Amino acid sequence: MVEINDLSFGYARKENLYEQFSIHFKSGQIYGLLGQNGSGKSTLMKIIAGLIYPDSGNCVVNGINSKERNYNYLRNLYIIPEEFDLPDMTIASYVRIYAPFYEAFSADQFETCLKEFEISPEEKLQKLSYGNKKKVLLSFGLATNVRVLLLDEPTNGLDIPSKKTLRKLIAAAATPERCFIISTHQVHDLENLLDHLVVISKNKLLLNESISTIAQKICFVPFSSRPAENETLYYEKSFTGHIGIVPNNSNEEGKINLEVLFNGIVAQQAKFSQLFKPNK
Amino acid sequence: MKSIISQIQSFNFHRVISLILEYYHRNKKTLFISSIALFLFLFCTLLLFKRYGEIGRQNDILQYSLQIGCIYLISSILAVHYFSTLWMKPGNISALSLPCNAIERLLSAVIVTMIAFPVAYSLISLASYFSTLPFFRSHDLRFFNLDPIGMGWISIIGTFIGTPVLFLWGGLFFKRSPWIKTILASIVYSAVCVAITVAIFYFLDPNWDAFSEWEAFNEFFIPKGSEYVNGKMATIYHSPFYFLSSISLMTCMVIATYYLLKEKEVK
Repeated sequence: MVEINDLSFGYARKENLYEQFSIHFKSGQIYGLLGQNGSGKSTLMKIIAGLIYPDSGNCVVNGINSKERNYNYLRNLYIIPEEFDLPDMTIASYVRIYAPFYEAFSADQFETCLKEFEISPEEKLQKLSYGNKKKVLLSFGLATNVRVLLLDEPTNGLDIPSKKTLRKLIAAAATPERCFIISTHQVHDLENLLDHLVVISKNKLLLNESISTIAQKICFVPFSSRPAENETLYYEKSFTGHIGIVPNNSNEEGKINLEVLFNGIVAQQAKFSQLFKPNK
Repeated sequence: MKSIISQIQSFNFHRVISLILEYYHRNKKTLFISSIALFLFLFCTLLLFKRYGEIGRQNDILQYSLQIGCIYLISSILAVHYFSTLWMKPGNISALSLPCNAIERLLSAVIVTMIAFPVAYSLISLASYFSTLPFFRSHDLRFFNLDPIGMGWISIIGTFIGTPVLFLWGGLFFKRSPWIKTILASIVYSAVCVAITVAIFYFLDPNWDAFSEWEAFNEFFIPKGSEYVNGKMATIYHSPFYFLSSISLMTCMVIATYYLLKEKEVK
């Protein structure tokens, strides 16, 4: 569905963000794209959306090279950026003008999403708060029914009930033909939603595994006191003492603490890369 | 070339219409304000011309130049900003990811800036002219002359159709102050063209013998006191050279604008 091969890219007068970077995103999956600030998550999203062209290598979406960026490339792709600008019009007018560009757009689905977010279609976009504008954009993106939906920090600006609604709507919109790539810092917001986790750090693919595989290989154990170094792959302080990541020897899939996992992967790259040999 | 063929294959005129509607809805306030401003400005200045100007051909030419100049100014400013959303963060992400081909995007811009703007603003200009008529006695009324200086329709149409492409290109090529930079670029381009032409002519015929009979000027009536006297005006606008250079420049600009659209990024 999305194939990035030997990608090299860097902004002018800056160190290359990606060098010979490869990753494949498959259909029917909800990917969580995690990384520290400046790790290149948003850049990767823009490259996939065809908004930035690779210096070398390629990005192919649904069999079309991103450098083509023609109608056939863009028709099955929708990006919801972290920062956006909406025109001065009502939500209903916005849909009337922009929906014709997306063949599979569902007005009913859009209305359902808006209703879930408790927003009226008659409201003016410019009068909405940042969070509500984002809800409109998220509803529109989900209703386009494109095959590749890119969401850059989708939960930023959303209140707690709306984050729950968003999780529900994404889960409902996911089909075997669609691929969702969600970039976020707020890993808690996406727990129980993701099928696959991708952790990147400047030009490195630190982790590229399904949630199921991760849960089979590691588990999260609470410690009342600080554990010994060789006892865990990684540990950190928690409210009740310490929480550590240890190899899962039981073969039973436990719950994944995404925040601790992310911290562990970033802090103990060698240990985790040995455990999870990155798949291309 | 392969890319252009694939874009032509998936070309859809409905999307061009959708792009035009998208432009209109996004900019309707600007378009409305510019229309009102043009109408009021022309209405007031035409009243002043009629009230204080001399009745005659010179006055006609001044009125004409004012009207054409205003239409040209507004059209060129709007044309240079047609693709401004592609520059502006963060709106450029949504603008550039809108599903359409670069050819469709270009065609929508060409239709709006080459046809819609000149037609709409010419109608507003005419409306402002006719709105001034009730303020004057019947013997002051003379029918609005669309071509009082005798440029010729081909030249008028050529100017109004050819220049928007130049400004569309400028709007995509120059990030800051695109309007001024486009005008400067066109002056430089014209100067280079003239220099090259003169150099070629000089190389072919150092004594200019072949061109001595060349009718470089045509007759033109200039008012002097109460009479008209013969004047001369450069016929460059009528010359095939002007026509060909306009067409070639326009074609180059269309191709350049297409590639700028296709290669545009949101870095």
